[in-house]
Amino acid sequence: MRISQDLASGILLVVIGALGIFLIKDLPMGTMFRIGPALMPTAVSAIIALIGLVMVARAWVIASPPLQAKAIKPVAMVLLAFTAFGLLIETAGLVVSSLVLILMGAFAAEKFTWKHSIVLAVLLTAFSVLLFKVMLKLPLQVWPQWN
Amino acid sequence: MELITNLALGLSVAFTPVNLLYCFIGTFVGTMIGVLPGLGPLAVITMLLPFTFGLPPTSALIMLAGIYYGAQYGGSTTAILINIPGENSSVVSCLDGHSMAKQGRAGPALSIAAIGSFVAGSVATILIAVASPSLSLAVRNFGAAEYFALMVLGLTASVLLARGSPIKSVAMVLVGLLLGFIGTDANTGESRYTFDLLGLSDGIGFIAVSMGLFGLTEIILNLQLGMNNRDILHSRVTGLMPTRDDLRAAAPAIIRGTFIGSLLGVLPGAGAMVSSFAAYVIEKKIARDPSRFGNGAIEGLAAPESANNAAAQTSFIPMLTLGIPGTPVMALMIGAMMLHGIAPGPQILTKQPELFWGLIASMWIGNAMLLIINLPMIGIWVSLLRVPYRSLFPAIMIFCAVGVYTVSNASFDVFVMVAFGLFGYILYLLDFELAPLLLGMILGPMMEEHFRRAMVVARGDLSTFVERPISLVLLMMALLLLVTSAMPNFRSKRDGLLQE
Repeated sequence: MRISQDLASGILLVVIGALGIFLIKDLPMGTMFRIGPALMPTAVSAIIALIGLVMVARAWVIASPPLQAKAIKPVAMVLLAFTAFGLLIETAGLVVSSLVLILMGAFAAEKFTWKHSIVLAVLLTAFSVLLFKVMLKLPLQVWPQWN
Repeated sequence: MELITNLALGLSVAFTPVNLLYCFIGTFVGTMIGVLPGLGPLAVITMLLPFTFGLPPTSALIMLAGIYYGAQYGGSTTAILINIPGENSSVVSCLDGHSMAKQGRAGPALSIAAIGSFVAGSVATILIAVASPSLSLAVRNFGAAEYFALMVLGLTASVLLARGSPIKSVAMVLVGLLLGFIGTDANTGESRYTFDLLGLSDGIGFIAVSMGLFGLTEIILNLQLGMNNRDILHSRVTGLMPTRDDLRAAAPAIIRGTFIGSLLGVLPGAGAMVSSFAAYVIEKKIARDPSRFGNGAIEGLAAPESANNAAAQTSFIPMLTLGIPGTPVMALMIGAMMLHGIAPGPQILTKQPELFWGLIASMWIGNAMLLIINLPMIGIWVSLLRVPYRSLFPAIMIFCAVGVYTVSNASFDVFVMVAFGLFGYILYLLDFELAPLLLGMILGPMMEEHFRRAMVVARGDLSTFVERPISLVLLMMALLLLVTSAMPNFRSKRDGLLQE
């Protein structure tokens, strides 16, 4: 059976709603007069889950377009590139992490060539140091920290 | 007379060298992103927000506003020259604008678009100045219950009048509200959904979230679509001046477009795109010879271009006077205000008049700047059209990464952004709209606060919301909207209006 868009959407909402209720269950609800920290989140989560259930039920009755497979490379590479940046920026500094970010990102594009990507990475890294560190004076570490 | 003193105050603020500079940067960047492919005002305003932390709040808001209305100008340039709308509010400008360009009249088309936008922007600025004080007076005596009801109505309207399936959009608002609950509860000091992470104790950073949702998701989608093939117009733009006949035909259309745009811009959710469509449809309906439309009718360009710019500006009215965002860009403006320590709401007008009037005056100055940025400098923008996306998106990535990191110098925010980039992509695949999520997230904490206060005042009696007349009317309006949108023919009617 192919999973339709509405079914997947409904399931996602049910999961979010259920998580929302589960993760707040240890906090007090309070009363309507003195509303506790859990009341609004629980109420909102419950409605989300309810909408999800409605969508799941509706998916049985009304057809919606099936989910389509998409190229996974751009998704994975872009997200990995930013993750690498996040891991590197505090220790390796702006220059290294920018180079890594751009090279990994460029790899996600359809027409990847090493020459174009390296030139681009070097130029943009120089630009980012100039703009963020020299002109905007942001508290960024530029070079790797050895200790 | 008060209006003149107020505007004088605004002009004195906006004409300081610093604010003029930021107004120029904003409108310049706005035009640029309007022209550049695959880069919208939502993503860019988020990207630049962290870099405004060091600025005075007025300068920051002047710049961010400039980006937004500047993008409407730039978007029309690409629509006319290469038949690709730079922004979704300039989709209809392609129809007659590009036809004019194909007939060798690109110059006059660009001029008319710019002149129409300038007229619309100026009128809308005055309208904001006139309408805002009375609106904020009207809500000054609102209690917590009325405020809660107003927010419910604002959210409902902005979600249901915008694109997408109503049920899914409502779900997205609620998910946004849930995200807004993350962090330390202001009333009890309890941690909610923080997973004992220090980075979440002050709430989830809305910059990281919206940069993930709008910036990263946009990059991924553009790469998947393969944004490499764009037809570039090779002919050069010569002779900007429209003829006397052009002006005579365009003038009434500009006025009608301005009127429609100003009106629709105030409505939550409608905004620039809907008003440009409405303006086009009306021009076509009242034209003596409707068959000219689509073949380079100058009214078909002048009216929507005026309308989208007017709407972009009047959409500031509910945001500035009520503290309620009607569009996602306005939600970002509210977020920006809060980051600068300004509580959004009707008190801005009385407590921070220099910010309020300075921002409004800057819009008029910005529109004048845009005229100069766009017309004599058109050559620069045409050459910018040739930048291929594969050279552009790495630059966008750098801005996203450094921007989100510098919010609080924490890698944690970068990871939050990545997580929401993925979440946004999944939501896109499932055909959810992302904008309602942002609206819910920004309004969530305020709504909860008002709800709690209303309950304390009413001693826990929920019926307070229906016993207070203003709150009752507001909630009934929200309910009515919800019911009509659930009707089967609502969507087809609304979308039909958009497609015509």
